[in-house]
Amino acid sequence: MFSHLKSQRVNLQLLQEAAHNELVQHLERIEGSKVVVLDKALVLPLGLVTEVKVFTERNIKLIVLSGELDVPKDVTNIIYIVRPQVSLMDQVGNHVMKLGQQGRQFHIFFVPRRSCLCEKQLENKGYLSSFGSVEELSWNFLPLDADVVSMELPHAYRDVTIDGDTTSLYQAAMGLVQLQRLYGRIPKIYGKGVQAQRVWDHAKQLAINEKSLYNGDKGAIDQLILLDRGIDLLTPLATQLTYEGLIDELFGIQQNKLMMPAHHFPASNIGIAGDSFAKLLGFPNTKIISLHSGEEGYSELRNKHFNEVIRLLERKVKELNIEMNKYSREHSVRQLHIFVDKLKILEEEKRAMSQHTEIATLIQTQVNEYTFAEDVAAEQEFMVCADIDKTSVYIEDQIARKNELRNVLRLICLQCAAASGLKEKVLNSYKRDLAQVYGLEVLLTVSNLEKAGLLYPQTESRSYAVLRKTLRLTVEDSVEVEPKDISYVHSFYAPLTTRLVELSLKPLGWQSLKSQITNLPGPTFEDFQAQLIGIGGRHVGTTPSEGSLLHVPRVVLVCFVGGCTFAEIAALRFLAAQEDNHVEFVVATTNIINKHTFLDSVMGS
Amino acid sequence: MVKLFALSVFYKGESEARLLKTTSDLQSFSFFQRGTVNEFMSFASKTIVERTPQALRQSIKQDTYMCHVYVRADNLAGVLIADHEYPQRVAHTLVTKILDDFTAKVSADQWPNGTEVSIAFDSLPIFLARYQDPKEADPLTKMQNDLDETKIILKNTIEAVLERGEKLDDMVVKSEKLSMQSKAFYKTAKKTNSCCSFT
Repeated sequence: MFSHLKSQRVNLQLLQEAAHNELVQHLERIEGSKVVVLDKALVLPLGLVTEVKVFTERNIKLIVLSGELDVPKDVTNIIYIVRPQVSLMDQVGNHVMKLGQQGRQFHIFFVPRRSCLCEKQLENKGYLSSFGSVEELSWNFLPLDADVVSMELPHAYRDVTIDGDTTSLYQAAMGLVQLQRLYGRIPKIYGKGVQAQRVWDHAKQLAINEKSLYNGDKGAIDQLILLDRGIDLLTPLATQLTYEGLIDELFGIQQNKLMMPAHHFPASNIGIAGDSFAKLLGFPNTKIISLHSGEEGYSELRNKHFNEVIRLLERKVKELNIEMNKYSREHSVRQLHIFVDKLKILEEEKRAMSQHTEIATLIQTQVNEYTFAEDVAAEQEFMVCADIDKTSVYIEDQIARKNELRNVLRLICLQCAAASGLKEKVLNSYKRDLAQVYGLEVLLTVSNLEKAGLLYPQTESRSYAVLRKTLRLTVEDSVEVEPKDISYVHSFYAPLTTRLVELSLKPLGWQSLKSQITNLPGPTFEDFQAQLIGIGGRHVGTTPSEGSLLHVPRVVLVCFVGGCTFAEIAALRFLAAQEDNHVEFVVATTNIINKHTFLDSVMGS
Repeated sequence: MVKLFALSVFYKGESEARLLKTTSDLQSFSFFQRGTVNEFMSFASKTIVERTPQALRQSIKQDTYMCHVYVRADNLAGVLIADHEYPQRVAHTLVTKILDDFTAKVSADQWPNGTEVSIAFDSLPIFLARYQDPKEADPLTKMQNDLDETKIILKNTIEAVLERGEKLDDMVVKSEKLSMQSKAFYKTAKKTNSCCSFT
């Protein structure tokens, strides 16, 4: 089921297997009949490392954690797989209270690590004694695809910037050490941003004790680039125009699963494998579609601009039509035999194309709305810094109509990011209008945005405007279909983060970048993990074996601290696909975000 | 309609062909015609054998009939009178077969001087009846027919399978519609950069 994870040089299937084996080991250590109670937020992530049949094979029933717990009488062990959150402990405690008798044993597996706070909570309520084993499943990074790992922490950015909770940074650091344990030492590290630096300092600290890291050659990954979300807040606020980006923004993709109302899809389209974790969540009348590189046809479509996808779909469907009707012209049995062999593949393709044509149609209906077009046009004007220092007529209009607050705030933050800060007059004017229309409470939300660094007054430096020219963030000659430049992901705007990565690929790239990005918030840092030789632990300088071999592309791990979008991932994949760049990317992120989820999280809903 | 009418075994002598055994199936003719037809067929068969050299197979068209003749090197000959649709290969297979059968059952010394009465060979009517349906009798034709039938079933099955799920035609229409309705997202294209002044 996870074979699609191993197609790159960094074989992420190893990560999946490690996580899976950890789970199985803990499960098998407990004797007797068992039932597993799952934290709702972990149901889909669980599907990224293991399969339902692993539980059914061992006769273990799966239940989703909720207020009530219904357990069959003959079960002796109840295992909870939960995040270390105190609120969940109360629910667990209630269960223990109700079902504690009859010789039942309780167990907890914390994901990704145990929490003293949670254990204290259980102890205080007197439940801790009923627990047989308290373990942790150190799943820091979960493999989403062959080139993407994610911590699946939807609120990482908010937690750090607004609440001052740096747990996600610690988890990222642990994750990096874990990756190095699996794939070897990373010799070169580059980074930009406050949180990025904190993650690296942490990771270095944790790695001091890992002797295995420093003995032997460098691992599969040549470089690590850590990027703080805070250095580029414009990109996550912009509307993504890649196929996958649009699906995420309009319908929402969770852990590679897309849930759509069933009536859009013909019931006879068989193809989703039987049991899946998604079914546990019980959405009636919903079609669950798997979206990852193992699915037929998806890799070809996901990273392209929507307009290119439409053309591609049309062409593929026509080709399929011709192929499938060939059988009626075949006459000899042998030719028919060959056709029948191909039939299965053709059927798969047909099913996939049918699904994608439907999804694309649904996307287009929304995209063709004039509201969508006007929003995108407003975004584009901000991105080229048109009238950036005045209150935007469009935004004022939106406020006046009391349109969706989230979108209005998004546009204001976008203008702020493009202007590198709003003039006080402008900011105050917006705040006034917002309060008048949406009520005073909106100012609390606005204050959250300010804490998060999305709204701030203008200072001397106009970093975006400058970088727009020096790094060519917006391009004149944009090409949506068969593009030559990463700017296609937003039609004509290249995500700042990806541009940085692109430029760092050139020889001495990072060094020349350093001077250009001083205006972006946070430190620019680099580091070097060298091999330790001998008992005394002398560090060895760059030996020829440390540099990348000529014919083998180098592997760069790009770690987004605070989240990244599908568009940024698509842009990186585009870079990797270009022969000249000689590179393969692995993306690590706290979570995959889009303009809606990012704002929702920061707004505090 | 494939039909066999008469089947005869002759001995080709120096001057004439000697009829050794014959059988016919004249049900398709009206009762009163049968006698005439029979005579005609016998005469035709005899003549054909006399005119066919040794070690030769022939198929001769005669009005609405086809006469298939095989004269062996040892002067034993077989004639099969059929209609035009009867497959030639099957006809010759039949003739060869009865000649082999005849040779096995009737000793060669009886041939030059045998008459219908003196020769003891009863298989002819059986063969004639069986081979009325060439498909059943001839394994090769049978196989070919089975094959053709299988092909048709196969094509029908494939068609049924392809019809599953969404119809391909619908998909083609849908995808064309998509293409027609696509819009460019990048509008602000050539807008002059009334960009920021650096203060």
